[in-house]
Amino acid sequence: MAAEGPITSGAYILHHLTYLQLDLKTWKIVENSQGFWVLNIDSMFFSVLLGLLFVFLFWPVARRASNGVPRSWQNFVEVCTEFVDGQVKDAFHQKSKFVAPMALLVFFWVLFMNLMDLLPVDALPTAAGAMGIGHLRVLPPADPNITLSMSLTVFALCFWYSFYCKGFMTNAKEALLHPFGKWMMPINFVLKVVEELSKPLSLGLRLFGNMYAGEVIFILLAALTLRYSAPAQIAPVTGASFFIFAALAMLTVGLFAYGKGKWLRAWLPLGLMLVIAAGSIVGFLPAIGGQTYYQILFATGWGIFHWLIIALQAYIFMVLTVAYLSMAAEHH
Amino acid sequence: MSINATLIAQMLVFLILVWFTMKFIWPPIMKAMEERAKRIADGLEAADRARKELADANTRADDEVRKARAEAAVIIERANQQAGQIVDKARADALLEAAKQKAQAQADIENMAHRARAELRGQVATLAVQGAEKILGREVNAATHKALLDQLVEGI
Repeated sequence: MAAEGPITSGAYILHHLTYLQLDLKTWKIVENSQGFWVLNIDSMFFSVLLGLLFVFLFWPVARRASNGVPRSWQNFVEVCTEFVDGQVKDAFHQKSKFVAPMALLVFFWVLFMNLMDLLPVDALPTAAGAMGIGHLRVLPPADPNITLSMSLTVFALCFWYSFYCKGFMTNAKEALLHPFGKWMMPINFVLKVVEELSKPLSLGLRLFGNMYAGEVIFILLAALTLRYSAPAQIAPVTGASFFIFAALAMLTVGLFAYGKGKWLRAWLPLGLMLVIAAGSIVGFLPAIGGQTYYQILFATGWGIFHWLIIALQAYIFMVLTVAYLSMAAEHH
Repeated sequence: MSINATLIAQMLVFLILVWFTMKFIWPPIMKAMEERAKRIADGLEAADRARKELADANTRADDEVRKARAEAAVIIERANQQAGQIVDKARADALLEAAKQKAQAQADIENMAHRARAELRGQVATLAVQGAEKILGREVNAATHKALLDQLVEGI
């Protein structure tokens, strides 16, 4: 990607915001296609991959679940399940077989998808580039198709569940007679439609907006460090060596600090400072990977804040999903 | 931002995953957790029951011990009384026996003394005759002096 001569910030950002797309009519890889019959392969790939990650984390436990003493991983899964179950019980008061499992899936799937944002912005696209794939967006929730499809599915389930629980007549009455009574039926209906449409839109766009903004900030931070860029061929090497150096320094310091007497713990912050200082010196030498260093520094700072958004958005998506289903089932 | 077929594909994936979670992941985990909760509740209840039963058993055992102790006290009391009676009786018997034996012995002694006296009396007559013979230097006819001798013997 960066190999083709000097690269501008604009091109860099645009590159990171371009999907790897498959035209379903011609079965060819395309770029920036505006038609409907186009599949965003990257979003779909990571979304399915992370869905499978959820399945492979939870399914083994479910298959071997015992009512005896739970082992470590089962403990973790049960804590998660219990957490989601508690959330669902708080918000949803009907009996339903699918709401709680769906909440579990939604929370962890969205969480895993959001966590993709914490990978260095260039890591996977560069690896894909090495395999001949031009564009790759690794963060499915930054694709409105993904978030809106989930929220629309939730909306469809709400619709179905509402009819299932309350029947056609109650729903029709609710849609036509509220809030202004029977003489304002058309207005009531329009309001109801707006209300119902706003739910999936806000649900999907909230997640999309948060994650897209987070991703863009990561990309901008990376673009900001572009002028320190080393030649693309050696950037990964210097980046990796810096990473290993930092990891080894931390490990050494950590072992000294926790392996022996208490006074040695002072070495931990000292070692950290040394690593940062060494990195800064490296950072001033543009040819030896300044971009990698500053990007790690900036991205770590933003990433720590972004953790909050990642977990919070996954949680909000789950809670609202349950809340909408609960509203669909309840009589107003 | 363009909406395309990804929307539909992701919907399908979502529905499949929801179905899978609903079918294969959620129920076994919840079932295991509920069963464990029940087992723990049962265990706690059983422990409570066992504790109560133990307390009951202790009370019962204490009662038994107390009762046994009272019974033992009664028995010991009775035994003591019996022992006293036996000792008293033995003492009385012994005294009686001793008195009897004493009386017997006295009677024996009396008898023997009597006999000895009778014997001595007989011998005294002979001795007196012999003594008199010696003194007189001649034979004394016992028959002649029988009256005298008898008088003598009577006098001893």
